[in-house]
Amino acid sequence: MVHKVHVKSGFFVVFIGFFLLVEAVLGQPGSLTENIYPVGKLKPTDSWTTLKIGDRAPDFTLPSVGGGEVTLSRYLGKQSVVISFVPAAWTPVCSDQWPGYNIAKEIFDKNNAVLLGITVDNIPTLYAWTKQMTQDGSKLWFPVLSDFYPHGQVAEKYGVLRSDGVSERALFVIDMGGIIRYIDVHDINERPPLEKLAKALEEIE
Amino acid sequence: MNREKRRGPKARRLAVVFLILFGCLTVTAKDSRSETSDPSAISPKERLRLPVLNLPSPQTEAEKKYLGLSRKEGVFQVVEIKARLLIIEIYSMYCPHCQKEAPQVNQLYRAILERPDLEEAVKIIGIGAGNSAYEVDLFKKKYGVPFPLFPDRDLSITRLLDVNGTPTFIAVKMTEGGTQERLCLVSGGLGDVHQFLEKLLKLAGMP
Repeated sequence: MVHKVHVKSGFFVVFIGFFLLVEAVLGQPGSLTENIYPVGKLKPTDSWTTLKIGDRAPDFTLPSVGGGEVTLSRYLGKQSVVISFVPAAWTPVCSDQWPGYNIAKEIFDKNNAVLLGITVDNIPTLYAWTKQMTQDGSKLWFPVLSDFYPHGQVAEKYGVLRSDGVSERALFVIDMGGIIRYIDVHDINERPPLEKLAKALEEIE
Repeated sequence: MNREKRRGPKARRLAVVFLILFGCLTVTAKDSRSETSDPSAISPKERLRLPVLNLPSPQTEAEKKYLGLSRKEGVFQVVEIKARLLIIEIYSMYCPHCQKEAPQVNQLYRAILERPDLEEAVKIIGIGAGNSAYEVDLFKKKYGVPFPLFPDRDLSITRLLDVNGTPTFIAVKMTEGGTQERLCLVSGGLGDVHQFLEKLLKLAGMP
């Protein structure tokens, strides 16, 4: 009987130890890239925008991950607008482009500009994705908008919807009068250099 | 009694299975730590000689003085840095982990300065993986980084260092003979900066 109790208690200790260790292992900070889906090298651009510098920016209204909706025209006469289309959540390059913009707010403030981030993902996906961009529980300072349904409608209006349903990695700078002043439909595999965007904003002033 | 006899081997078999799983997880946990912040977990076989690294000359006299560089401009080689232990941080201004870690790395710099025996012997530099000079400057100002940062827009330096993610910390033992031995490569957070520093000093054979 004593032997039976020892076996049972030993078994219990090993069992508890095992699950504590499982929790410890699974609780380790994840590998830095483990949540990012490797898309490989993609065709640099896969769309053709008919918009050009000097055109009026197409208006739109999209739901924001922070709640409510954002309409482009509400910024008319108040602030310049930078639209940053990124292809998709949880993919390389996209996953670090906005965290970089998140520490560059002063560039936008200095030029009286607001940034609008847009992807074709739905709100719950964008919620989870953007939440891990700041690491300290804070939110991105700029609105992140979902162009999910009707799928890619705004990306299509701007001529940056790729044939596989994601958008290009593209930047549009729109002045306070609603006129497009800068377009960079970038190689999807690369991040646009921040200084080019900063220069474009300074040239509006 | 017969039931106990039947249960005995069964319980032992289950215990053995759990012990095997336990062992596997212990190995996994050890590997996981080596990817985060434990410099002592680096295998001696990874102690490779550092490749030749050319960096642009620092912009300020204070940074040139910190690194002990005499040349006025152009590029310099990492081997020219006057130090016994060099800590190289590979980071990116676009990496949220690097943003979070920036105050910790600054604290590491201050922990070194607080020790008169290390002030001249241990130096830190940062290399902005995929970052332009503009982006490096923005990061430096944003986090008040007190040590020199260098751009690596085309990743030509980062690729030489065999780095898979950011932030990564590489400790290099520098000798007067001009050899540079990579002591360890740590991906992820520093953890406690004082413990981290002590481990690096131990690896470098510095008291």
